[in-house]
Amino acid sequence: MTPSRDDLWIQRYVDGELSADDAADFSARLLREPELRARADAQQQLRSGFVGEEAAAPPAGFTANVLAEVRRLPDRAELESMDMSAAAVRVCVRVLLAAGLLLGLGLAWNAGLLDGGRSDQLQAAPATIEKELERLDQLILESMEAPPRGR
Amino acid sequence: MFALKQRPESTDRDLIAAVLDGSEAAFGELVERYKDRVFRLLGRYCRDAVEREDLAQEVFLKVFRKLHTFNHDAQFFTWLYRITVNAATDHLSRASTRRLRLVEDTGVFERGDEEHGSPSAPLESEELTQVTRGVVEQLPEKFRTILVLREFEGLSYTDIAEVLDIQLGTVESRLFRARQRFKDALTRQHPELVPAAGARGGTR
Repeated sequence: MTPSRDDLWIQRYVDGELSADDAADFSARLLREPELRARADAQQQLRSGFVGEEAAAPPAGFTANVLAEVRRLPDRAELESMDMSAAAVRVCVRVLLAAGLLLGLGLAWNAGLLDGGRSDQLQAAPATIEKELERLDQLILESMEAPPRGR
Repeated sequence: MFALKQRPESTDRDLIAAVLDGSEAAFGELVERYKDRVFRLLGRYCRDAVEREDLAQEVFLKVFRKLHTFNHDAQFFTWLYRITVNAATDHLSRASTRRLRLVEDTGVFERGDEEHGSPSAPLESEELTQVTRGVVEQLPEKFRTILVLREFEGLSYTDIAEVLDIQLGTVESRLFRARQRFKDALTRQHPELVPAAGARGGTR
């Protein structure tokens, strides 16, 4: 239900949100384009039920009741300090949550649960591993057979 | 449509400064100045007078407690409206959780059902207002709130953006969608009230 450009222009026009120049230009367009005019009239008509409702009014003595409740509150310095304490608690909770999240991610990485994370498991195919072990054996044997240096 | 800026903002600023300095009288004047608007706005969400008064009191107590956090770059009434809208929507949410529909207590929906049975019956202006309200109350909260702020409270797009803390473009698109939802619901329940071109829409 994406509004078209004309939908938004009609809405701004009906709501009185256009500048005087834009409103004049759009009024001229409405005169030239009956279909657009009909849409604007329909939107205007749709709003007719929003007017005329009786507004709720405060009862007598409301302000006095509010002030009586205000007197029961802690004094302003205390309210501000409570507010600051609450803010400090919120910051601490966020820091702890962030630390916990980082710790969890670190542990998951260390356990190899994340892509690209550390893993103690061999990833190569068995044949490749066997071949690499053979190569290492060969290197060890060659080093053992080689004559000692510097003598 | 109601005037929203009857006094210069600097006066509000002076009152706020005085309240922060400990003046109870200044807070009393702020309450006096804005209580009608708060009640009117709450009345769009809650029909029960006692509940409405409790909510209004809750709003002003929160204003008192949080006044030191008010940012003077904003308008006081939009900050107050935000607190009021939050209190009202929290109230609706609590009521919904309790599976109570507090707004249904005066029979608008019952009457709506009767009217639904005879959709072609012409409606008087007062009934039209009641039907409109009934349809608005059925909308999801965010659509309901933006319609309340625009259609009942007459707030500009800029003020709505400030109250709801959203971008101007979001105000326009959300308002458009809210009106579409309103029109769809009205079309289902009272097709005779939907203007022909309006029923056609203009959406893609």
